[in-house]
Amino acid sequence: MLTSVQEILKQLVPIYPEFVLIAFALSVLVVDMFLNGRYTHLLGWYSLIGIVIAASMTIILGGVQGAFFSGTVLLDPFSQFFKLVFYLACGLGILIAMKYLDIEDIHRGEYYALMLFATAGMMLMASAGDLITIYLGLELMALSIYVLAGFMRKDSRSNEAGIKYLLLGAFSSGIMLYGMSLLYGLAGTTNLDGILAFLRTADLKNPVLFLSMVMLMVSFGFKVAAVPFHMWVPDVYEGAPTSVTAFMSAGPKVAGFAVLLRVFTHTLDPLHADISLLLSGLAVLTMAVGNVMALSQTNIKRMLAYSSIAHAGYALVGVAAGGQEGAASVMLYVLIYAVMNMGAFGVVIMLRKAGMRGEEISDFAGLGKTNKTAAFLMLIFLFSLTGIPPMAGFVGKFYIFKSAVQAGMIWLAIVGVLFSAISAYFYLRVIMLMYMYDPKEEFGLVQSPALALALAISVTAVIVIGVYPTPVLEFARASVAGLL
Amino acid sequence: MEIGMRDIVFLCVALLTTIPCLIVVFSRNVLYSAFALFFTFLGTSGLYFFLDAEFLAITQVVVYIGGVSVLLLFAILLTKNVDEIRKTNMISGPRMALAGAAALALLGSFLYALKGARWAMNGNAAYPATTIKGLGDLLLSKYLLPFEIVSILLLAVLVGSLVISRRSVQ
Repeated sequence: MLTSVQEILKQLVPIYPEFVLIAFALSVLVVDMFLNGRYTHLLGWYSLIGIVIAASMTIILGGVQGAFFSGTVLLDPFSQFFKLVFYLACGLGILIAMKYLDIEDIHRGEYYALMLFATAGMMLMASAGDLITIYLGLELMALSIYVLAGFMRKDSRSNEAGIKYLLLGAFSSGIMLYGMSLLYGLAGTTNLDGILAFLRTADLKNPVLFLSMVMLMVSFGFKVAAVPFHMWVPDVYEGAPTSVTAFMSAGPKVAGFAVLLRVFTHTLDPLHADISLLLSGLAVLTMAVGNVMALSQTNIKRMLAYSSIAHAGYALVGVAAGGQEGAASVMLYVLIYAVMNMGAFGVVIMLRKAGMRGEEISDFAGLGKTNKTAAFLMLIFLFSLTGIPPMAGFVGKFYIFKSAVQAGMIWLAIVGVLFSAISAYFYLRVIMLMYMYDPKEEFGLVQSPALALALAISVTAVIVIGVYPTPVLEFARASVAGLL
Repeated sequence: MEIGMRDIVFLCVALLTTIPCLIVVFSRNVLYSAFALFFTFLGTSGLYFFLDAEFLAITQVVVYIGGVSVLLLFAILLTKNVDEIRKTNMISGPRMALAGAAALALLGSFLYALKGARWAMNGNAAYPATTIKGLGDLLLSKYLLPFEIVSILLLAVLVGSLVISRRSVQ
């Protein structure tokens, strides 16, 4: 009896990190029932412990590689890299949420449980070795986030965000399942390696194959917010609680890129020419619409929403470039993007206090005169988002465009740099408002140890990666080696 | 081409699936749409029978007809302002034309792509008398992990729906 239990535990080793997160999520739900409402923030710290344990397990499991559970789960450096990004996104998301949830009067234990469920879903997406696991991981992530987006039940904008995301997400899931079923019908297997083996010998001119590839591209494009599948982004980002917006802009988008890379540069690699053409078209559209629409926004959350669309466009350039360099540059980019974007949202959250939304860009006027630290942090994050050295954002964009040039897509790199220059206008406008204008009213910034910790982590990461990117880049390169 | 009994039955089932679909989309009364959906689910279940997937067909009846449609009707009837129920999915004007054109183009490209498609066939392997045993074996062996993820997924949905729907506690 005991040996069989040990046997089962041994078989579970590859999914211990996911196991730990789900166990913590379940215990959060149980403890929440008995916990006095004043102490709910303790659940946040408790969830963070879970994330740290899961992260150390992922690092310990770094040496274990291979396919497990009949090939439904893969353990490789690629998935481990992404899992570490998810831990970072979820950890920062929880840290910046704690105080904010109190202010919005929505501090409930389920928030943390859903964050952990969503993270477990993203991890399954990154290490999926089978179309079924991709789908289930994606739904676990998406369903948790639909609820988080509508978490402010009394706020009609939050309701709208939740419903809109749910409806459009359901459509995109439907399209993805259709594409997957066509692929299964052709290949006779849902296993990613099996599909690759089939494609190596198959007739690649088959229109059904093309159709299924396009359908997968549409649904993954929806998850990473690529134009023209971006319609939901501004409304959902604006309506959702700001802490959820921050998490949403980092976690699910990065998870989308994990699946995009795994499926398009590994499984469907024989179709690389078609994929590269379609993706570079998507990338140009995404960069154009994201950057141009961001110019005219007055709400900071909407502006960051369009900015996150634009950043998906830059990352798509790397996916379109393909190859080892392209994939590694995308991984480096999404890591940097996650940190700097969550940092920027962290500063936005500081402005939110009772009686003042702090969501208009004009609310930032004069921040540099009253709160030097907050303004300086925002300056660093915005510089990084623009891509000004020595911040990390520059490094990310540099390697993305370099990989495009190496792949012979010089025009794509030029277009990317041009749009990147346009983006300077709306990022620097906020900086100008902060430093050149006088404050309209007294600022009473929200401060809490958790928020300070989150900002410290992200600002350190932005500067350290910006100044000395080599280790992270080498890590990304080594991670991608097993993928191709 | 000879048209046998099987083809006629298939045609009936296919029409049972598609015609109510049109009613769902074009009806001017949301209640009619919900009822029409009921028949679409029934037709889909019939299509599964044609594919020799009895278990899936029966599950379709139990879950979608027994659960989802009834729930949908309850949700409509419990909504406030039932008198103003004449809401519709229809859109009109240029958007309608644009959406119609896009849908037709999509249909055309699907038909073109699927016309000459060669699918992976499992040879002429003998069909098992029942598929339920095979499904059960697969779910608890090859697809054990996805099966377990589904349970976590359902739990997350349950928690989520409680968060959205429960009365605020003070």
